[in-house]
Amino acid sequence: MIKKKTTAVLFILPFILFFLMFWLIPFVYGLVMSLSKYSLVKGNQGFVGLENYVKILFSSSMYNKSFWLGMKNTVIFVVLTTPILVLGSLALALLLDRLPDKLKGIFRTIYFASYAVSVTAVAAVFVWLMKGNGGYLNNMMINLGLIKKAIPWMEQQPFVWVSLTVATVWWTIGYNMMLFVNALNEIDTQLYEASSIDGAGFGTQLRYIIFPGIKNVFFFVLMTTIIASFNVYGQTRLMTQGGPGETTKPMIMMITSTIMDRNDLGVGSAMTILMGIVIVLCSIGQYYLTKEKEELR
Amino acid sequence: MKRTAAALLAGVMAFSLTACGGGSSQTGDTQAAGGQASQEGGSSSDGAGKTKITFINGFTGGDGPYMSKIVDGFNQSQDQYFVEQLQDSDHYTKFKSDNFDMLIIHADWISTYHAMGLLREVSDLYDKAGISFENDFHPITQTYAKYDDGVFAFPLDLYAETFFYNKELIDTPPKDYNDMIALRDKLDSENTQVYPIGLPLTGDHQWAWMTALGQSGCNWVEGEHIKMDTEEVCDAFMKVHDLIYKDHLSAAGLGDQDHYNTFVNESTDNANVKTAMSLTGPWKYVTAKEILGDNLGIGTLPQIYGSTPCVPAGGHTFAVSAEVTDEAKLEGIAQFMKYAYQPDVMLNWADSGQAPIHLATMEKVKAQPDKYPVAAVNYEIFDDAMILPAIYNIREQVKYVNTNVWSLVLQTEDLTREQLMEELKNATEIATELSEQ
Repeated sequence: MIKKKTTAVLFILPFILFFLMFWLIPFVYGLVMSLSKYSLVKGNQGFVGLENYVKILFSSSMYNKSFWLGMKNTVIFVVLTTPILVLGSLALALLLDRLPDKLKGIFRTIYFASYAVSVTAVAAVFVWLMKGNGGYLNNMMINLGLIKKAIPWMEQQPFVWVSLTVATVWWTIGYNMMLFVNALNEIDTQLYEASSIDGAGFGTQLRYIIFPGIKNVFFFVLMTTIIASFNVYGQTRLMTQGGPGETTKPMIMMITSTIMDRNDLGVGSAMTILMGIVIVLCSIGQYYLTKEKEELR
Repeated sequence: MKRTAAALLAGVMAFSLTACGGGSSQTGDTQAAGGQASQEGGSSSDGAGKTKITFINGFTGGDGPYMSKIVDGFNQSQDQYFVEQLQDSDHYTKFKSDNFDMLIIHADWISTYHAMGLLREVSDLYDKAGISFENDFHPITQTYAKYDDGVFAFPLDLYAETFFYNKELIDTPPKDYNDMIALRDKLDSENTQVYPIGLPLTGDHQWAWMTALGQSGCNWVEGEHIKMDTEEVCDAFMKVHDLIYKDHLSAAGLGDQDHYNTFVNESTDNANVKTAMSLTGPWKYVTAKEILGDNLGIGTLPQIYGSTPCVPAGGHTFAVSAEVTDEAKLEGIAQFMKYAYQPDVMLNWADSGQAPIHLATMEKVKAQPDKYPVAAVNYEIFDDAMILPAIYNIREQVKYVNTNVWSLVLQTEDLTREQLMEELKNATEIATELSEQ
């Protein structure tokens, strides 16, 4: 009995250890820092209660402006990318599902391959493609006579958001698509056959067979995509450096800048906690939204 | 079976912990290369009894090997001291978080690091090394390395905004704004897409606005913070705006590094903007020379925005951590400076394309203008050089201008003074808050 317990503990120990080391302790430490005047250089200068949170949320300080601007930029990014990443990947998966078996593997690999590319390479490629002056896309469009003047894809709003959205969708849509492909594979093919005999078209099948069949995966994809979009950093950091101005500087970049450039670990940690709360609220809201629908159904 | 599984699991865990330790032992590897270093208490020495001095710098580009040559030369010349060098692009963060004895710090960072108490006063090391801060360096170094409580750096070089031009497009380099307008007409910029100059959204853009403010004679510092919300600063930025949208001396909508990309652009079709001149860093000389060959010209910065001579500049310096108290280490650092500031040794740094600011070395470099063309031109403008003001958090203070103000000026065709002034006020408010941190 003791041996069994020891073995069980040994099996659980790595998780407990890593959970403590890389989640719980840093989280609690972050929480403590967010309640302290904490400089990257001078260290902890004492407990200040909720002062950092007040500074971020209610004062007229630069941190207040940074936080709300970062939040606004992040929400714009989430709104622009999430629908395409969820519905677009579902559309791709449905297309793939209807391909002959021989071609399925090829296209699945093609669409998923982009996900394996590092964000650094993705950013470099898209900067080369979309650069305003001398970029491949503009040169091609000018030479084809489609436009007369270069479009500032990487330099001016709203074009910069378009470039970031395209790059992000190209980079990550394959992952969501794979999840949907697997979910679609789980649907019994007899249901399609039976419904076809009854005269159901694609729309009817989508509504009554496909969507109920992949519902759980759909909401999982939706939730993870929203969370991933909230955490956007690499694309904006490497493609636009947060510009033009600070219009594409997301929350994570604001936090990094607060901690690394302004040396303020206390305020930076408070921003992190607030951002975490926003993401959690989004997830909870979405959970209740879907739960309600389920009950209504 | 269970016991085997448990042992296996414990083994994996132990391995993973070892792997974590191994991952952070970059210095250990370097130590081995340098001769088995060990650390005890405040002092450290290598296996052969040499005192080890840890030195971090950000020379990860083409200039890295030249700094290594100086360090290696010192190590070979020594039987008492050993300088262990780490070249890392993130060297400021590493310096703040780890325990390095010496670092390379930019001239405009010294004021902030000095205020944070991270640097050691080094007058005694100057004396030990037999170097005079007042007499052995160009006077501009006094504006950023010397403070009320002493000297905090050993100046290494100065790099100033350099004026490159394409001889194929320009017969006589423009000297002022009118010359540039004449050049625009000659180039027929609007039809050929070849403009006199390119103002980019990002890439040396801080120098671009510093040129405008400096040449316009603006005073943009008040006490410990920058002050941008004045009529004269607003005027200077409006001149930049007019240069693009009224006089069309630069194309609008240029992006990252386009002040240089358009200058070395070899494309022959009309789709891309090209420029006849470029204001950029001296480090671009090598690639520009490769592309333009004998057509590359280097000249004195034209007075674009006003009559006040002003060339934005920056510089590298050696500095010592405030944590260093070990006398043996301090003696070693002094010996390193004594070695590095021999003109023949410092010439290694000139070989990297940089312009040393040590007077005796400057003389040697000036004597060989063909070998050191960029340094030779830079030396002519050192007297007009303008480095960011030596105030606390200055790099952070100018960030809002670099991003928000600059993009507003560059991208808003129908920009009004009111719009600009609003952003200049924001920039001043943020700078004031940063200066009070």
